[in-house]
Amino acid sequence: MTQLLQLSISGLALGASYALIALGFSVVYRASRLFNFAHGELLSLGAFLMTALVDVLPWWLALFAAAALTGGLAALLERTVLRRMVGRPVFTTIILTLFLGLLLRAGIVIAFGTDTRGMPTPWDAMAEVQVGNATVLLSSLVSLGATTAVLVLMHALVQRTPLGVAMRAASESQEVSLALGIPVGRVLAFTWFLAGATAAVAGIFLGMFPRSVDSNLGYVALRAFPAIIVGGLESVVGAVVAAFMLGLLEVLSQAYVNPHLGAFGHNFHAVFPYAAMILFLVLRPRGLWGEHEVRRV
Amino acid sequence: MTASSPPLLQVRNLQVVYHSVVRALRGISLEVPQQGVVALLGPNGAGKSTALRAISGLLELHDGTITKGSVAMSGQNLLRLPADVRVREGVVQILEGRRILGELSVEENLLAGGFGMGAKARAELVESAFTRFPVLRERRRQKAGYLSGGEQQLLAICRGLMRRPKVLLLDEPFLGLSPKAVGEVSELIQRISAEGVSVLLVEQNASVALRLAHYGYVLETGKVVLDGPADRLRDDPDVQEFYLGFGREGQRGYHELKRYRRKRRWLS
Ligand SMILES: Nc1ncnc2c1ncn2[C@@H]1O[C@H](COP(=O)(O)OP(=O)(O)OP(=O)(O)O)[C@@H](O)[C@H]1O
Ligand SMILES: [Mg+2]
Repeated sequence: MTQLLQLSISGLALGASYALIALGFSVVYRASRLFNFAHGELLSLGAFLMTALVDVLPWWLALFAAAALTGGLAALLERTVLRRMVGRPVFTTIILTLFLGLLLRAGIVIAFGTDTRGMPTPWDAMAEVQVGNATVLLSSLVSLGATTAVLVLMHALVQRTPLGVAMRAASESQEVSLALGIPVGRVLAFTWFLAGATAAVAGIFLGMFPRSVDSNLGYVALRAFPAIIVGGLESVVGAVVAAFMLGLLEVLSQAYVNPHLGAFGHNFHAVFPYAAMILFLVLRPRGLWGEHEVRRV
Repeated sequence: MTASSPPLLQVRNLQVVYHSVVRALRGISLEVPQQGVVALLGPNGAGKSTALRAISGLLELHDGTITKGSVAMSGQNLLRLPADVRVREGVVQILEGRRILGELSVEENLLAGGFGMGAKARAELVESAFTRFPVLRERRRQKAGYLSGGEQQLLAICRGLMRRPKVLLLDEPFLGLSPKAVGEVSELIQRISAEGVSVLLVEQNASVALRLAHYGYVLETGKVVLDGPADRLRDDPDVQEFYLGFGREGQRGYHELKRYRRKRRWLS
């Protein structure tokens, strides 16, 4: 029981980071109608920037600065390259974003090297706290709290503010939005900014002990992919719910399923979500909440 | 509205090309006065929507370019301004086919039309839309996609009024509406016009349009072939034959146009 609670908390913390990744990915998809496969490298960039910025700024300021810089880069990519790709075949935009991801990755390696870094925290990185009978890492709790707070803020922004209405309007129809006087270009750039900034936040918390920051961190975004598919690309809420389930599933299967599979079970938890995703798609091809059919690529 | 007062909107010798090859407008000129309703009539593909897009700035989105001519409002050149800025200057186009944002609520559709305005002014304008049409207030929180066709058209026009336009460009607002809804929409157009907003009304339904308008232009394959006061156009034998459905030829022609149009819509 104690172990289950302990694992559930770290599973939810992982899920919250996946949720931020899924959120950014699906917000961008809805706004620009493209799959941004550079999203993972934005996450990685955010984490690396953070490891550097904490040397010169207080921790919280460094967090905001890393998020803002990453968001700014995402917005810049949108304005300079990806905006021209709207309406192009899906295949073209996939190749292009994959390529941009590779470039980013190369840039990160050049700027920060290939060494593995620890993510600095203002609290003792290995500190533990008691939750009921369970002992959990303080980092897991902070990570769960902070990423959930960001999710709630994003939700409030999109659902409750004029800017959020404009973002949703632009996602639904750029022509109608322009005809209503909405500066669609700026709204799109802002959407990408949010996606980049939230990716950075996810990267920063994902890089904390027991994990670390290295140039492969970007691949974590691929692990959030099943959540995006299962949640339904069109449904941000669906993607977020699926992401939490995914985090739980991954941590729990690592603890409870891997040991029973012998050598085969070594990394089973990393594959398991994909298996679950395929099973799910067979049963519910339109995703958790999807009213629209999942687009087949 | 005297002949001597300068027009609000002035289009001169406008030429438009899509994808650098398809010639859609071949030099049209028209004027919309400070007040009143001007009708722009013509069959499918005549270039009516293209003319509105050129005025509102939405051509770019369709890969259309203006190769010649000018569009000015109160003497100010509009062509240099991007679409969203023109809207805020008071040139508002209500797109063909209502184009309600179906995933947004009724109220959010109105709010989207007031993006960037002060909160107070925006709330007042939403309130005035609700006062005009209580049904919109009743259903303010529902997804706008669930409104009937007529209600959607009323919402689309109210949404455009959020900018307090000087000139409203209406693209076939009666398309696909029931006779009752046609009545409601024409009444709204009359009221808007009486409140001092100029209207440029694009229609294939010439009989309704010429009842609302005081002046009309007839467009065919990118050229103005006829223009004059609405009552003169109503009496014109060509207009009667081809647009008002009098005379057997005309009736069939118009009917066929509608069928073609429906077919095209199914395909698109
Ligand atoms: N996006 C586009 N790309 C290429 N050609 C276009 C485009 N839009 C319109 N055209 C062409 O320009 C011409 C004028 O079209 P437009 O839509 O302005 O006509 P319309 O009078 O509004 O017709 P309708 O009554 O069918 O709406 C037509 O020949 C049409 O095929
Ligand atoms: Mg048209």
